[in-house]
Amino acid sequence: MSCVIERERPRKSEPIYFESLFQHPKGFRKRAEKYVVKRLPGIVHGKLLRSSTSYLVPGNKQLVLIGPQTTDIASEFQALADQWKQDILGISSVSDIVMHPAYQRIMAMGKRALPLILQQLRRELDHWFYALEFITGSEGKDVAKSADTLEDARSAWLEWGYRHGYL
Amino acid sequence: MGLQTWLSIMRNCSWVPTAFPNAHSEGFDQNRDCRSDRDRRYNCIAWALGKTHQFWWPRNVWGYHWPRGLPREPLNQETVRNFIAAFETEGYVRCWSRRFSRKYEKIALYVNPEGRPKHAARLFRAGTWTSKLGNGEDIEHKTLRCLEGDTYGKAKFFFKRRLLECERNGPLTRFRSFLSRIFAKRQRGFSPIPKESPTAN
Repeated sequence: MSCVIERERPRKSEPIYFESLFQHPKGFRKRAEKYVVKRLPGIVHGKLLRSSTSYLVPGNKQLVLIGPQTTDIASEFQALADQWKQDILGISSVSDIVMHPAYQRIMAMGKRALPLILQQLRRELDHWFYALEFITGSEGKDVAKSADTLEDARSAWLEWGYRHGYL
Repeated sequence: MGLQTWLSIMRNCSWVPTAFPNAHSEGFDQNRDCRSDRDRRYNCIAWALGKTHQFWWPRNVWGYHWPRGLPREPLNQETVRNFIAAFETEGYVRCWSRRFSRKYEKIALYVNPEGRPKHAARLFRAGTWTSKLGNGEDIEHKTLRCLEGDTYGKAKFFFKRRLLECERNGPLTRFRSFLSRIFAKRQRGFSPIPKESPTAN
């Protein structure tokens, strides 16, 4: 993914958007409603049937909507991280782990979330590597190169964080 | 250590019956069947293959282990074929029986309705499977149905690997072992009557 486009959430009166969004199977509707119907700023992901230049569309049929920026990013990050951790406790699939809406919202925070992610990673090992690679782009592509375990990847990213002044 | 951190690492399977609706009806006991603390270093696939230091998943992100030469797949595009190939690198072959056998280790692969692999469990002993639940604990469960549902889908693919003990205890090995015992006794001064016996004196 090369760019992040910020945009106000679409209004409820966009039927095509809602119809297309809610065609995704299982549980997605419930999660999407949290962010869209309740008018929270954030991200949802699902099958994109309508093309739009206003949406960020990564390769894998992911739709990311980014709302207005909140002032207290640290508390928002913590709330999202806690929610994510709680929801993915029994999930083994990495796809399901990183496609979680809370994780996607953290990714959409961009570089502002980098120090928070790295601090969280320093506290405990978790699946932050996809978000780190996503946010840092080509800069962080090979940070944890050839790491075969999550612990090795964690060490590499923490070292990178110290070197670049994020920690 | 903060309370949250402590809570997250302690052994607590009380969430399992909520996440897996069949668990209760299939006899899962959150106190008896919880077998480890939470550990994020490895996942169900690694645990099924007997490894506890790597996180096995075909993700194209550094840190996740996947056998060399096998493809790393995009998000939500994982294929059963790739998992079969990964299990083959560890000596497993596909089989069609989920029954316990003394000669084989067995693994069950859960797939969702779209055919995407979601979980793996290992047959631990007769009537007992063992699973690592995501970032959570290792558990034992009596049936595969215990974990079936929206999260993991259904157990549809099975794999077996001959146990090393069985390979070692083949007929040739047993004969060799018999001969070595005979020779050892001869070297010690073989006698059909044990020396400790009162009739030997």
